[in-house]
Amino acid sequence: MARPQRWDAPFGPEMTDTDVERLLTLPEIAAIERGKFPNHTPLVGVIKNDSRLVRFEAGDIVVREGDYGNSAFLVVTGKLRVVLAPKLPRELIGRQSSRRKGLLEALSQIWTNRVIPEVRDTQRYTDQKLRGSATDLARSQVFLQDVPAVLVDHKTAELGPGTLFGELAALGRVPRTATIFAEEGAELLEIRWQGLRELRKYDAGWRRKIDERYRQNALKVALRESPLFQGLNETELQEVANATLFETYGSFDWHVSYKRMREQGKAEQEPVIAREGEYPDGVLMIRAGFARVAAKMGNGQRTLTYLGAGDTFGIDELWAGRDGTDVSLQTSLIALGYVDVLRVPAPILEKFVFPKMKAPPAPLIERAGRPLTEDAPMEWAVEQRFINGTKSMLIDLNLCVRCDDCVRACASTHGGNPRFIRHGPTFDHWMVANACMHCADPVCMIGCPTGAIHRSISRGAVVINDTTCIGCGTCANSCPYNNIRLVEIRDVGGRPIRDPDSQKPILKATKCDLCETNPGGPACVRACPHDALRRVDFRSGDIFRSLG
Amino acid sequence: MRAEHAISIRYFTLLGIFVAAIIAFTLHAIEMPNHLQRPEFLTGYVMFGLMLLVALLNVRKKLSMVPIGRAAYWLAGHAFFGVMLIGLYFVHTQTIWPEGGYERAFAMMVYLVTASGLAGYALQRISPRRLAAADLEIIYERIPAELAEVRRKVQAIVLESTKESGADTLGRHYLESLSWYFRRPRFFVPHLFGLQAGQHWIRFQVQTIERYLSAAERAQLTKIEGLALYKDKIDLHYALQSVMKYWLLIHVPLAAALLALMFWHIIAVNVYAR
Amino acid sequence: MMDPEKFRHDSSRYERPNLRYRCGRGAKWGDPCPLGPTTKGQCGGTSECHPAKVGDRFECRRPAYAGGPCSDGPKSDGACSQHRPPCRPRRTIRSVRGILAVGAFALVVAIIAVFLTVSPSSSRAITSAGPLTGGHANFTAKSGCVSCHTPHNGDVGGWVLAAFREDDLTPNCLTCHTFGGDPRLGHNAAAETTPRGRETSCTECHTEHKGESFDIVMMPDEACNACHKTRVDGFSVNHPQFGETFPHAQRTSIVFDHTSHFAKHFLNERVKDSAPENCTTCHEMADAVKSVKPRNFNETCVTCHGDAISSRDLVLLRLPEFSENLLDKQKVMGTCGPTLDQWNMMMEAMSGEEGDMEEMKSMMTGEEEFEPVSTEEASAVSAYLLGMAPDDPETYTKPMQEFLNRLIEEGSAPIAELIDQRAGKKVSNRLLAGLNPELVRRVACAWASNVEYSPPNDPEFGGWYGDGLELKYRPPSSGNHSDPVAYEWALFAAASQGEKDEVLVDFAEVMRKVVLSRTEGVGACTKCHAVSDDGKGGLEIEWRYRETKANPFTRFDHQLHLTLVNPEGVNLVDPSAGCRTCHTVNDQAQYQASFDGSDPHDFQSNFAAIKKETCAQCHNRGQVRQDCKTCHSYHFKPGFDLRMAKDAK
Repeated sequence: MARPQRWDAPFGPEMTDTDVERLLTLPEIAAIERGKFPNHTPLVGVIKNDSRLVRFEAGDIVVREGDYGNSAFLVVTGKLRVVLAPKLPRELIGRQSSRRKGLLEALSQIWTNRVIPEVRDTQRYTDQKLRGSATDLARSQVFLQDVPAVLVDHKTAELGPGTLFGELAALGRVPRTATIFAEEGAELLEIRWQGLRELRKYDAGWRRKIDERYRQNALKVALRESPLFQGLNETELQEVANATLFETYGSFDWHVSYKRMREQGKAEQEPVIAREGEYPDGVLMIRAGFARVAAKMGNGQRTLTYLGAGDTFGIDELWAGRDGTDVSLQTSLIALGYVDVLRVPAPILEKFVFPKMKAPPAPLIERAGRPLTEDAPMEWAVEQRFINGTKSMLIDLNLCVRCDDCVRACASTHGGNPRFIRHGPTFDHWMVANACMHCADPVCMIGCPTGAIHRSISRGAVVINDTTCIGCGTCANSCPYNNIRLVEIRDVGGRPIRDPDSQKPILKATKCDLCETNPGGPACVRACPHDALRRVDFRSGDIFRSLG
Repeated sequence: MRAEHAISIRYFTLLGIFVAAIIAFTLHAIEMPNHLQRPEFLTGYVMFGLMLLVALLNVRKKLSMVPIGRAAYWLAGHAFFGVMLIGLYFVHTQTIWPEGGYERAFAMMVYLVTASGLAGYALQRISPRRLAAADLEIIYERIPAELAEVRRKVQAIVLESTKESGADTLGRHYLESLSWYFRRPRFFVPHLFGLQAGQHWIRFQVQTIERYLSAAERAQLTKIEGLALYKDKIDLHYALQSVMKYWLLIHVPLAAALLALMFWHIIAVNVYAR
Repeated sequence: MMDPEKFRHDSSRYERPNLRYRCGRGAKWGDPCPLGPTTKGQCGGTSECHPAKVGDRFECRRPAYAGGPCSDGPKSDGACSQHRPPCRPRRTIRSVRGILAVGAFALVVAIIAVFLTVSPSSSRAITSAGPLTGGHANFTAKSGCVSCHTPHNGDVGGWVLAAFREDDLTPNCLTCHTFGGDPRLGHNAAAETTPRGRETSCTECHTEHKGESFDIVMMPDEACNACHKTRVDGFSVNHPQFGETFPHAQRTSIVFDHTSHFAKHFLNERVKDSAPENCTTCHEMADAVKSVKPRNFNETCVTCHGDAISSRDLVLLRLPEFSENLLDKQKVMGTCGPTLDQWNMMMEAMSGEEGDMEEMKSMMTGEEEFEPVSTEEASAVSAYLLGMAPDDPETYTKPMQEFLNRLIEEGSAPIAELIDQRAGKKVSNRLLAGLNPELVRRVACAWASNVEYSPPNDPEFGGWYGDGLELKYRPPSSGNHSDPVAYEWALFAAASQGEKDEVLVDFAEVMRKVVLSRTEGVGACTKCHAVSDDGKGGLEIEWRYRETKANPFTRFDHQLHLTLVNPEGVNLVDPSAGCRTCHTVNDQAQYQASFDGSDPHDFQSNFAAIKKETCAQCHNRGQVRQDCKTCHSYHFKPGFDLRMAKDAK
């Protein structure tokens, strides 16, 4: 068998050479200097394999506010509208309204909950505004039925041919900031993040365009939120922003390789962002994703801690060396999956930041003094990527009497159906059960064709709108932790619902929604009679402390 | 961490308040005859209230959908007031073993329910740690499927070994002895008491058959031994998880009977003793 | 560690512990089928999938979690090729538990219902709180529970009512128990002893159904303190001091001056040998409890005072000094016969001397100078009976002489008539017992003849006798302590306290002073028997030894304490031993004077008051018991109603 090549699986298999030729004549692409591209990744290859042409009919939603996506769009023909204000109602873009139940309504679940598993009122599904084919669920679309009405009610801006959008979300791993829909039939070039990265890397024009937009929209916000730059005024901040470099590390599809790692038990080589012993040229600030701080330990790398969005690395050494001495990095920073990093050069720091800064608290290396056993659970959590979760279900097996009260409590708040399984990876006496962890980086949300899986506004939980879920399984397959499960639904009479054509059961993706619509927070935690079950954010404090 | 601290402080403050209240109440009840007052009705109705409160744990478990306090508090209260009730019971009856047939049945039920409760509480504190130490976690309901899978694997190994070696040594031993072990969970009682009877049995089986096997067969035997040891852990889970479920089969029905007895007792004393 | 593959989203489905059934194959340790049982407990199906017709052929639709499409594929008719025999699903442990719990509740309810309805004895078994104490069990055996618990035999409505009504058992207790007072009052005594607004009930203190030998009469000190304002935590601790005269608040019924006897009489050389050896010589210890009775007169006092009774006479009538003689001499002589003087005169006259005849005539007609033979006052008794001042001849001469006339004619009858008149009832037969009418006539004849009556001999055996100017009664010296005549006269005198006639009130007092005189009274009764106010305006002569009525709720057992002080062989005069350990003689007390009046509470005892400290020497913390019930009892006069006997076995 031939060695797998990068473009073995093109983004759009149906892209023809004529399509590519046509695209190369677009002003935005024609302006690219082909010569800058290396031989193994020519521009034509990038266009052909890392992008695809997609058509949208009038009313089709192209990107939804709050969605995660891994591609950017270039308008080829047609006219799109970006909704500015007020925002579109959530139901209109396929979300569910997450109204909290009242006490009595919650209590009424005693008799409204069904004994038969996974019963759905199929009536709800019939007025779906879905377009697409039964054969390719991933291509189904949610569309706006009454575009003129939307235009009257909402302030929108037009996006014409040549407009590039969605690149920030694609590269920065952040949610889409606005909803864009097709006002008329439109043809768009969708470029996946790998292609976008190549374009930015090799073409100065695209880089400038992307970076400028980034600086304008996101960078200053990120800097301002960091405690490091608190004392700076607007002009100083601008100067820092101008000098700041952006870097991305690791694979955007880290979960794929992570799953492979879990399945094969083999760790992928993690990209090193900064190496122990080298001299720092600037402070590194994580903008998205996770990286671990590691120090050499015998034959391996010991994780001291891990950094998430807003955390900085290298400040200890730069501060120690601010008088001019060279202080090398005492620890390494290693990407965990995909990491978006800002690098603020050392001279800029010395000029603007250090004069106004107090000595940083305990250097990261001090953590190396702690006993290994103390950090063992954390090392495990990092290795298993549980650090991604913000509400992981952590069960203390020393306390858990395996009574399943949590599971039944879960079922009682979800129409009689549990939404997690009380099994999962264990370490020492800890278990992270298979319940949605409500990740900081929710890879499950990438590629949902209808936007059924989304973050709720109220609590930021990742939830699935059962009504618009089409059961394609994209999210379930994406989740590296196996926390989304497809269920075969039944009608109110208890009969399994099958597709009349294929006889395949109708599936719905289900997962823990943190009791989003139920009063009082997660029922599982409340139901545990032994305080054995908690929903934890692995980033916060000493969570591996037994309550017993 | 701070929040956890706050919870434990709240725990102990609450506990302190309850203990103080119960002690104060008990002293008051003991003092009452000194004022020619009969404490039986007061203590009785307080116990009635506490009994209902304690019994409400079961209702709480069915009302998980509404925020009516964490079950952990409820259980702590259940255990605490359950123990307090025994103390109040003595204050109420002023005897360990009352006169009268009905009263004795009642007292017996009180003792049985309390004893089963205490036993269950102890079980629930000890068993999870033993299970966690087994380094295997399995859902009780999935034990049959898991056993079936282990059995399938073992049988496959035995068949393969027989096919490869042409000798039926392993197959015969499987049919004679090993199949008994793999058929269902074994060594229930030894597992309850933390004895290693299962592991000992496996070792004995391996030693017994090993001398008759070829090198290839021995490799297969090692695989079987691994699966057997895996099953031993499942057996431990089966034993401990079973008792953690079955003790309630005693406690809960007895408690239901106790409630029924209590209701009649209240009717009777209201008709006769007042 | 569990194989992570088993957690895969497409191979591990939700566990549903809320379902009531589990696969029957799994229950028998077989491989449970992926379909699982239905919610109603039937087997979920025997085929593994429902093949779908796609175009003109069937495709397997076995889901991934069950292994994905099978290699055999559907049969040509579209049926699944993979078949399993159906199983019988089992209930989950949880479901069984629910059934058992409901069942246990229902079973108990059913058992109670059966017990209640089958027979009275089974109904009693389920309602009784325990066996009754022996006595109560016996007396309620026939009527059963309803003896005390009225609602027992009632219908359901009655039960419901009873459950909500305070039902006091006290009335049912009272069918057998009596307390000599209101059972609802504290100590069954006067209302003021009970705190206002508070009624007592039996069940406040007494608890039943605690077994055959349960002590249902126990009463802790705290129960006393519940009502008593003065809190007592133990006798030696804070029991109040005894009263200043305790226990001698009231004088004794018998006047016995211990001081003078101890200090004087018993030391007298004459009687020294017959003086008592110690207290118990005179005080009866055999049945002594709270009171220690003295032995009777004939065993004790009689040694020295045996002749005292017959040494005091009652003067019934005395011939007073008359201012004139209004009597019809002829008539007197006609009835009585002539006196010796008259006889001599008659003899002289008959012997012929004129002068003598004249003298006789004048004597007979009474025209001579009257010279009364008596210069005495009338007796106090006659003063009362006749209603005349005994010392005023001007007023009493006429009625007295008329009375003498009647006595001459009718003997003792006029006296009896007057006595009955004064007493308001027939008592004269007892007061005048043994009085010979002939004696009365003779005495009256003598007096009417203005001569002293001279008895034939001295009245050495006692009884009624005349002597000169007096008609008297002397208690016979036969040794009878309780002479009935003297007794009756003392009673008659005492009763005169109630005289309503204003004229007679003063004369009655005169009589009492004489008859009940401690020094002169008839039979010397009142020398030892106290004359006391009877509380109703009258007087009472305390004939009998009177046990003290004070402190009815206090007990003291003298006999129990006897061995402590060992009075046998203890010298009476030794002030530090025997009974005198506690009862110290108070020689300063005006004992005798206490009996001069009739107020029994104006009293100074021969003995000093007993102090709390005396008792507390032994009744002290850590020594002898000192709880309230040691000396005090709650009920006033506990007793039983005879009705209870009829229900006994």
